[in-house]
Amino acid sequence: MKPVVEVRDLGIRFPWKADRRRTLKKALGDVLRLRRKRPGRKWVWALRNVEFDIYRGETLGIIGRNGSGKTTLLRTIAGIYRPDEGEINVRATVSPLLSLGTGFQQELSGIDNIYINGVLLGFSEREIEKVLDDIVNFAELGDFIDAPVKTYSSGMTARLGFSIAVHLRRDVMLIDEILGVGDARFRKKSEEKLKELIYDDGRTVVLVSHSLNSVKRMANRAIWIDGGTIKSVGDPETVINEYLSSS
Amino acid sequence: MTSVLNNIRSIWRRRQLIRYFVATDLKLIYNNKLLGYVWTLLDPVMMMLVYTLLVVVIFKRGEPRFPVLLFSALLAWRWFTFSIVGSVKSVTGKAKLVKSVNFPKATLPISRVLVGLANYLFALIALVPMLFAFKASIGFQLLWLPLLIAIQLLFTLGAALISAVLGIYYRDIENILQFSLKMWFYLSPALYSARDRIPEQYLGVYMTFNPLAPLLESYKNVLVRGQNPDGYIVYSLVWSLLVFAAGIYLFSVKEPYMARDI
Repeated sequence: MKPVVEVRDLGIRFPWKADRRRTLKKALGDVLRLRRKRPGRKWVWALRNVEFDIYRGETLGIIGRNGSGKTTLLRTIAGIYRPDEGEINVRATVSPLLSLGTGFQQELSGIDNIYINGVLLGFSEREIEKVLDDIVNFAELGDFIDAPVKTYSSGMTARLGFSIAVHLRRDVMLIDEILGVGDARFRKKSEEKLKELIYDDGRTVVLVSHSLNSVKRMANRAIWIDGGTIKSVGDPETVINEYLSSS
Repeated sequence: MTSVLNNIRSIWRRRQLIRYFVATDLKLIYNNKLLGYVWTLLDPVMMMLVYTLLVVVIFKRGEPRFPVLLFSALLAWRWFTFSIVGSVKSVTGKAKLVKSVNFPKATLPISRVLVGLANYLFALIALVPMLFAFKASIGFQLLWLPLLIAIQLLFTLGAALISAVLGIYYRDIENILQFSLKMWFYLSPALYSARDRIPEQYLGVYMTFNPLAPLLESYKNVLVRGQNPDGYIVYSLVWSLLVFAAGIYLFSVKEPYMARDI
């Protein structure tokens, strides 16, 4: 079976923070001083020599400390960053799970925002209409669904975001740190929903999480990355133990 | 080149997204219908009043029908500046979104230009009573108006795409832009008529190298003077095509790195 995502010798680099954005003033100064070459930009590798596959139907957990490159990896799979080295082949449609409420227009209603978010993720109006009721019901917003999002509590916003994400989805779902949505009851409900997608629906899921427990519970394979490179791949239990004993 | 074509194709495929961006912005502006409308008109109307006071009352200059000539040029000018100033921060202002979803970033400046176009068309309605009040010579020359709007649309789209890229890579662009646009305004025939004020021997240069000059003169011709567009409008058309192509090209080259660079 061919993997749905193939990552080969992947490298992603970022400009060093200090010269990330130039100013016209500086650029003009360089021209006036006849400095032909700008001092070479400094780069930082966020990921390097990363290589792995993702197979259809599996749930892959990615663990690692803050700043280790987990989110960068997820964004690269989503096509947001282009590889600076190596390549990544994605043979499926991928949907990012917007960190909750990204792209919400505060002044517009929940319904309006479902459409905006859906179209942003590349779904057509017709596809959105089909799952509209499910999204509204799952989010448990009642009449608030017609009120501007700015009147929502943070829990309500998060619930709507989660509901949109799990109902409007592609072959491969990318999930970044979202298992702490809303109150305890909704958390349980959202985790159940995710499990349903994973086990019953056979979705391919890539899960980035700090919560080692949820990775252990949901993933059937795990990757530990540190400093932008893969430290270990394999059975979640083993990888997590390695990760824990390293720190 | 193929990346440019792919880019145009992907923008076209996501035209629904552009529609949603535009609809959202218009909803926000016209949420309170009347107030929203008055609000978008307030700026050009105030500008017209200030300049009329300055030119007609204080300096006792200005041609007959000065206010309506000025207003018909100002509306088009406002559309241009609204688009450019908004495009500069169109991508950087949505940094969070750009970093979480992969979508054609060009939809952001393009939507801004289209919102400006919608505002412009709404504002034209307010121009109508003024045309009658100042006894403008309205004739079949009005049929040229869609063509003028199309030329300006193309030029503004190109300029907006370029501005969006500059806005990502040079963060002090906004200050410089405000000043340059002011300068550009005075160098364009809004407060005066080019054929009155620009010496004969410079008129060709003036009209050739300022794509907005023949456009503004043409707007005044077809809306107020009952004349055909200025002959130099052909140069505006050529500029529009060039700037549009340059904008699409520059944006396509830079787009893959935008999420990283903002």
